[in-house]
Amino acid sequence: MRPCLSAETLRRLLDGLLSEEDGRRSGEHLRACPSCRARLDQLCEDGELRTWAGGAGRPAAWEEAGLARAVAALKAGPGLGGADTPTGGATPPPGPRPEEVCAWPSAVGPYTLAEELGRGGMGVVFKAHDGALRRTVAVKLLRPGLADAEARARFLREARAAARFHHEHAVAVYAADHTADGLPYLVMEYVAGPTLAGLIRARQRLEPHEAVAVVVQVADALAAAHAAGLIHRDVKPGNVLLEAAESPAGVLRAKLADFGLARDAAPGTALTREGVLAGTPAYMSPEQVRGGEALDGRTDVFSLGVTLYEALTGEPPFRGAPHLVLQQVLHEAPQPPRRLNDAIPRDLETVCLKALEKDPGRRYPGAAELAADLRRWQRGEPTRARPPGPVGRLARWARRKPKVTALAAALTLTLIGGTAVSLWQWSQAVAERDAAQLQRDAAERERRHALDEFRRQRQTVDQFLTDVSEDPELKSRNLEPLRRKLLQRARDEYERFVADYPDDPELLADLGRARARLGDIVAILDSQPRATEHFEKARTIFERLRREHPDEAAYQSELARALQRLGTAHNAAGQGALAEEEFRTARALWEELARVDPDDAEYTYRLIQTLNNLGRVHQMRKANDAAEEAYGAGRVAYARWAERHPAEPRHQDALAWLLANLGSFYRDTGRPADAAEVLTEAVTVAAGLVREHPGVDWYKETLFHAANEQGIRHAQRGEGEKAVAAWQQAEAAAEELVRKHPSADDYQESAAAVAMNLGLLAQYQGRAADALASYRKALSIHERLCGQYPKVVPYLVARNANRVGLARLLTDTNQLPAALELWDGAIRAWESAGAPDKLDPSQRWFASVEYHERAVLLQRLKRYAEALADYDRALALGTDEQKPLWRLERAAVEGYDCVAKGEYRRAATLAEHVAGQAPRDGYLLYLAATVLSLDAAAVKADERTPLAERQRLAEEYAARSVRLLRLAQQAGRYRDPSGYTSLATDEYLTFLRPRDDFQRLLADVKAGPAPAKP
Amino acid sequence: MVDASSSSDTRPSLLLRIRDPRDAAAWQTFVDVYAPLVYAHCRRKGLQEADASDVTQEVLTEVAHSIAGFRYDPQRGRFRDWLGTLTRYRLAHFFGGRRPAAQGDERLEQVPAPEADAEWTAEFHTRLLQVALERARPHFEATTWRAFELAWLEGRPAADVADAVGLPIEKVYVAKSRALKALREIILELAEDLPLPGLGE
Repeated sequence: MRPCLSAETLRRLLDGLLSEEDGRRSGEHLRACPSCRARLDQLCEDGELRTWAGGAGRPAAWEEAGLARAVAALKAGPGLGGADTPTGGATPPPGPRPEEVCAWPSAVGPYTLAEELGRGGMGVVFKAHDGALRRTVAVKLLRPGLADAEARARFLREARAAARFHHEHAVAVYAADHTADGLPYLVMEYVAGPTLAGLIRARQRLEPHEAVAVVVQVADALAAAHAAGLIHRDVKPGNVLLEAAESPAGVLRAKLADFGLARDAAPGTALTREGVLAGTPAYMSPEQVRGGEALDGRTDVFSLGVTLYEALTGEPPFRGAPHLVLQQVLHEAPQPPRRLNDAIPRDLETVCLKALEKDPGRRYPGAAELAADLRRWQRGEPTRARPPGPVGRLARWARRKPKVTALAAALTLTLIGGTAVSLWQWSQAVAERDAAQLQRDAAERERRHALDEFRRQRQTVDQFLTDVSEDPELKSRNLEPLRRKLLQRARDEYERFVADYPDDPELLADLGRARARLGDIVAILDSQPRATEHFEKARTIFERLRREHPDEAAYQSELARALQRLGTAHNAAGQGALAEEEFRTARALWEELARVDPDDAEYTYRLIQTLNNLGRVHQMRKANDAAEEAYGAGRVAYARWAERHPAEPRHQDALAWLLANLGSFYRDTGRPADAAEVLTEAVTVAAGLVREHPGVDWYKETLFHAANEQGIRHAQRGEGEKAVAAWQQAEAAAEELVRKHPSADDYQESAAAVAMNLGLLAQYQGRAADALASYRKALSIHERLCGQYPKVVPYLVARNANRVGLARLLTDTNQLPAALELWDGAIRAWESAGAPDKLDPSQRWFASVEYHERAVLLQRLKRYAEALADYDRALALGTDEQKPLWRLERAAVEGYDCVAKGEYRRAATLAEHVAGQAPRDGYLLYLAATVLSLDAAAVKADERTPLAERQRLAEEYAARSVRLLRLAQQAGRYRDPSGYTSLATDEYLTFLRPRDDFQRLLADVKAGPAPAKP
Repeated sequence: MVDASSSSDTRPSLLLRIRDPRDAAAWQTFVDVYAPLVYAHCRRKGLQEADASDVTQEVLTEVAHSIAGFRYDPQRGRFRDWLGTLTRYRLAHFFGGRRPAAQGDERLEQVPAPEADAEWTAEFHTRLLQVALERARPHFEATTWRAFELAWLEGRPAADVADAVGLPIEKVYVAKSRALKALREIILELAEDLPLPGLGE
């Protein structure tokens, strides 16, 4: 049987991309191979739809007259269906309003109404016949529902404004009146032709010279209106009427209609507040949208710019749902018209965009100036409007993103010299690219130039990205926001590349690369899983290219790279199976490439890298054989190259990482000898790299990783000396990195972590001085990091672990005040973070243990009251296993406290309580004995009590104390060799030492445990 | 910041289109898809033919009003759940009207939360899938569609299907994959929620 079908083949089969022949062969295999069939079944299942399919396929229930009636009624128009309209309809429902179907009169005054010509926000316009003057006119009627006082006032205003104004390119207003029922109407000149909006709809768009001819006329009318103190405020294609007969010169005659929103520009005549419906969103100027500012003629310039844009391109610059349109009007630069229609001359585009400037100050100062520039264009003269040059572009960008600019400026000036250079290059690239787009004409030479430019700029941004993402200085947490901003800028650039991608097959590969880099950025900024989408698109592109150019190795290698990235992303998303597929396919591609061209270093490098990835995925999926095979294949690939070529540092680097992973694999699968071997090799390789390339930081990171892994392995095996050596090597690498990049926090963290490891090991080995030195070294780094980043939780956690370790060490070496200081710091750190009841169970556990340890320390320092408070805190958080012991310990400490306060009887009672609760616990019996011993000493020395009484009590307590110690001894305490010393020197028991019974006990302890009973 | 657009090459969602009062075709489609769903739900809840017809009209009319006025806010829930809620409200009103003792508005409080109503969700899905199947079928050759029906709807093994309809086995898979893609596309168009309003910077 043939080998199983690859994942790619299966995918292509499902997409119908296999050739007839390949399809047939796959079919044969599928017939014979249940496993491939199962894979295919899984690949072409839609899990969500599957769960929906339970009820599908059944005949539709309830096919009956009631449904048919509802459907018919609804289709006639919602709102007409039920007698009782449910919501009362604050907004107009789809379909014509019921009252408009029949409510209009057939005549108003002397005018007989004919067909409807159109409708606006406030009224409906009819064609009408003027019986008296025997002419056709247009009559505009206010909607009956809107005929309240304010609407009438507005209507009258329109009439007044319009009647005062005459211009050959404005629709003339003849009269304003109202009907017998008080319905106001307006009589206007009838223009027989379509509106500009209708013409654009019919012809998709206008030729540039036609569009300009129309707009120039409207601009003239507006210029006259502005001069007369009138602002139109609703300029749009729907309000530009075109005369049916074109003039002999073939020029359309335009008339601007509907001064419905016009009002006097003269001060003091602002009659009404702005209604939300005043204006049409897609044509409103930003200042009109914002409201609250005085409008002038430049708002009409903007709207006319929108009109020109739509006439040239067929689409208004701002589109979508009204609220989105308003957002765009305010914040988004329109797409240059030439991107929608490259037949538009560049100068004209510039004129159009100048009219569309967001800031009125940057627009034409009035309609007259716009008209003049358009005429210059018509005559072929240079226009006044200038395309924004690089400086203008950057300035505009800066206005939009003031914070980022400030950040970038600060960066350029002060923070990092190296990246500042590439930032500058990149800014240049942005400016030049934009300029290039403006210049791109249809000519082939220009196209070629543009393609080169596109490519060059992508490479520049690539370089910028590499610099930003890999510069260790930028990995400082302080600079993290800046790094993110810079990466976001690079991402925006890539997104623009991808969106603007000229549909040119030559650039397809560049598009694929841009996609892949975009994915890289998304992976850094956002998350690996989110990058998947981009990597998948890159894969699709390179699959296509590879299909079309099967001999082009570059496409095959790009495809393999995309698969590697995709695999990494899947892996990060926890999709091990998918990751495995991708890495496997990538491996096959690299193997083929390396086979065909064994002298290409890149292929071998990527192959080793891929095999490392694949091994890692197998390892995580517990496919041990497959993992070992992959790692092994990686070593073979390396060896094959090394046989015939000089060593390549990046091969060695990839090999070191692979070996380190393989070492951890062996370690975790119970093969310590193999682990030792490969980890040693990994460290050797990495150390060689560092030696030969002292300038490359990355190799030091590799060495750190390998040596740290090796140290862990040795430590786990109890090979202390070797662990120390490995960790010291790792520490040296980390410290070297810290010296070179003092602000790179990652390196500091690494140095601190390895110092902690060394400290722990030294403590374990009983080298207290070394342990103290390592802990102190780590703590100084942690203090620095936490001082700098008081809110970064991992640093706080690491510092606390460090403090606790050091505190224990100091306690062991009897440096109690110093230890207490560390405990105080550690506990305060997490106490200040929030209330103890907000801690999760594991945090509670740690918190309780830390309180308990401090309580013990405080007790040793004889600060009993504080110790008791800590015991209470520990008990409040502790688990049921911890509590019984701690309660009795606490009772003993309370006993000490009572002794100190002179409450001898209470101390004795507490001691008896402890002993009674734990009659077989050597430790607790001992504690009870110490309470009584101290009690005896104190009571005897207390001169407030009569002497005889004192002596009697002291004797009673001391005798009882020795008896408890005897019980403790029988329970196993003092059994080991140090028992005698501790009993003989324990300061808590000083009072007992002269006693015979105590001396007998001491002798028995010295003699060793009694022979075991038979 | 701009979100990477996900579905640039699909048609605008039906729910977006019915916001445009001039798009009569969208409204007709909407009625065809959703009226039978609401109607059947009312009937299952025990309404008579005439009452079910009325409630269906009320619910869909309310959708038209609310969707045009942006009162449907996708941030507060999916279209599916919203439509379910409207239907239940109307039903509650209906029953409230029939029983004078119950106060209409108090009954609203008792309407189960949308996410709790698994029955509605299942009906909604069934209806969408049903419509999608009807709409996709004409785009496929009879044999291809048959292969898909056998392989997916009836869940028969690909090899059996191949023998039954006389197609090579690989074509059975292609049929299944293409048909599922078509279904998904249609469903997206019919039920994809509106873009969230108010996306500023």
